[in-house]
Amino acid sequence: MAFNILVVDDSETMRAVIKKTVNMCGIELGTLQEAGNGFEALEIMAEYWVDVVLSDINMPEMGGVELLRTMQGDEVLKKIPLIFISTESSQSRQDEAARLGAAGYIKKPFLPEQIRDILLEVLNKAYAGRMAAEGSASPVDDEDVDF
Amino acid sequence: MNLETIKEKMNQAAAQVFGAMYFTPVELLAQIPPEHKWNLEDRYIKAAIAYNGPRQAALEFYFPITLGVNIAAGFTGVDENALSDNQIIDTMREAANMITGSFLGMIDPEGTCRLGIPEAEIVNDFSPTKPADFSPMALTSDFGFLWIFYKPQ
Repeated sequence: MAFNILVVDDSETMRAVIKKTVNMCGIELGTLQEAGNGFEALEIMAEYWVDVVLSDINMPEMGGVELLRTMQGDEVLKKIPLIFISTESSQSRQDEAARLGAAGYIKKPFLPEQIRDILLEVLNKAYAGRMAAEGSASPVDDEDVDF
Repeated sequence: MNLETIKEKMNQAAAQVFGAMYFTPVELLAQIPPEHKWNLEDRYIKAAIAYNGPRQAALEFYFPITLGVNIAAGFTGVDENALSDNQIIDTMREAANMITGSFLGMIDPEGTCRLGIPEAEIVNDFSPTKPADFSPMALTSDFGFLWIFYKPQ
């Protein structure tokens, strides 16, 4: 089964790098969209179905924490797992993200393998039922990905 | 926290970011090099960022344009000659963001401080003597000195 992924970061080059990494993860992708802040992300999610969000925290206009809070307050959007990818690296910040309902936390700078591993873990956990119904055992269509 | 500790942590943060994300080694110099060794370039990418909370400081990063071009090309996969100024600025703005974030994680492990949003631009008149009220740090790279200025607030 294919997954629709949304990358949210105010840095265009960082979005490009994350998208490139996701493309290399071996996950069967539907759409891979991008947004420059939380507001843009919500606009995209109002129009398209998204299976997982990879979001920065520190962004102008609407940051990642506010985006997550807004999603948590919406009956439909709260089902979409959000993974933070952030420069903020303290354990308390990661704990706070988990308390708010983040599905994962990746610190920048990151290794491509870290994005792949957390993404797979989150997709497996969130969509196990859907994958089983569609006869798919794993989100990846290529297990032997070499970064 | 004294300046030597700050320099040591900043060196670790910069080396971690440049090594992990850009495969470009950088290393803090124990002292600011003498002026005749500065080899200043015509253009630098200036990235300014601050953090606030129980500890507060402003930082300014000055990346030589050749370092910025090399890193942006490697990071984005775009040929050096095809890179726009915006792509170079954006890449180095993110570099400053990651370095400061890593640095903050070391000096504030309890996460009481909040990182600001970085701003970056290309400047034509950089001199290490200009941000006079900031403490300067110089790091070596394969593309000239990278300068970091730290000012507690």
